[in-house]
Amino acid sequence: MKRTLLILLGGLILGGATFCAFYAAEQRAARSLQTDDQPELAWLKHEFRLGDAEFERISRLHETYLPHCMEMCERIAAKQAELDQLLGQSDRMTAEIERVMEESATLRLRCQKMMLQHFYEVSQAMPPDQGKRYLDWVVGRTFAADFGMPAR
Amino acid sequence: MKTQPDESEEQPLRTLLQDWRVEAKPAPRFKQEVWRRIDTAERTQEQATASPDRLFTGWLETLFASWRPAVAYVAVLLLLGGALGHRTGQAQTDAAQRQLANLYVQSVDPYQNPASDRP
Repeated sequence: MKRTLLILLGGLILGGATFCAFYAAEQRAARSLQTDDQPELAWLKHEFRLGDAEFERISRLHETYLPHCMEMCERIAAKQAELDQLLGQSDRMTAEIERVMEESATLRLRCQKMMLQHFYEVSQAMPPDQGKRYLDWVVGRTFAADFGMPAR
Repeated sequence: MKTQPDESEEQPLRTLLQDWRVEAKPAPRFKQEVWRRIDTAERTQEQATASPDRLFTGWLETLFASWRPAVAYVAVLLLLGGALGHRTGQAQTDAAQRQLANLYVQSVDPYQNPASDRP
């Protein structure tokens, strides 16, 4: 009986230990990315298998792009607030509403052009195959024309 | 009719029996074999009247009496543990990677709605 119990428990303990070892090994990479100072960039490096020099270049591009992106976002948000106020005050289309809508669209267009330019620069800083993969993915994510509608 | 032998008639037989010695040696491991048979007989008798859990325990004991099933049992649990650990870890890693992919997209396109795909 003692021998049987020993085998049963030993097997369970060893099986449990193997589970933990494999689980921890699988999670190690993801955990190191999540605890990075800039997890999104750490993920980019890991996902697109970037070397240190490529990552350095892409990080600089990212750092340069972000302030412009934030500035554009603030301008778009301000324009949207202006439009919301006009829409709240009117029950028909006015020249003022039309003008603000056009300005808002122009700002969004400029923002998208700047973003696309950034994607091209980042993809060109990657090895060609990874650059193409990055571009396909990021353009699909940011320029998808489904407007969040479910596919028919 | 005579039913009991006389004392004088029995005496030679008694003398013969007293002088009789067994010369043959028992088979090797004779005692162990006898005890094994007794043990098997007792177990068979116990199993015939035992409850299901005792039957199961008895079956396990019989199974693990040999090293091959014991090694196979441990090997199966090792494989199962490894496969489950790998699969669970992989699922969580995928979820974490999707979250990081969203984080990247939202950093470059703050107006982007979170989606769930990654490259």
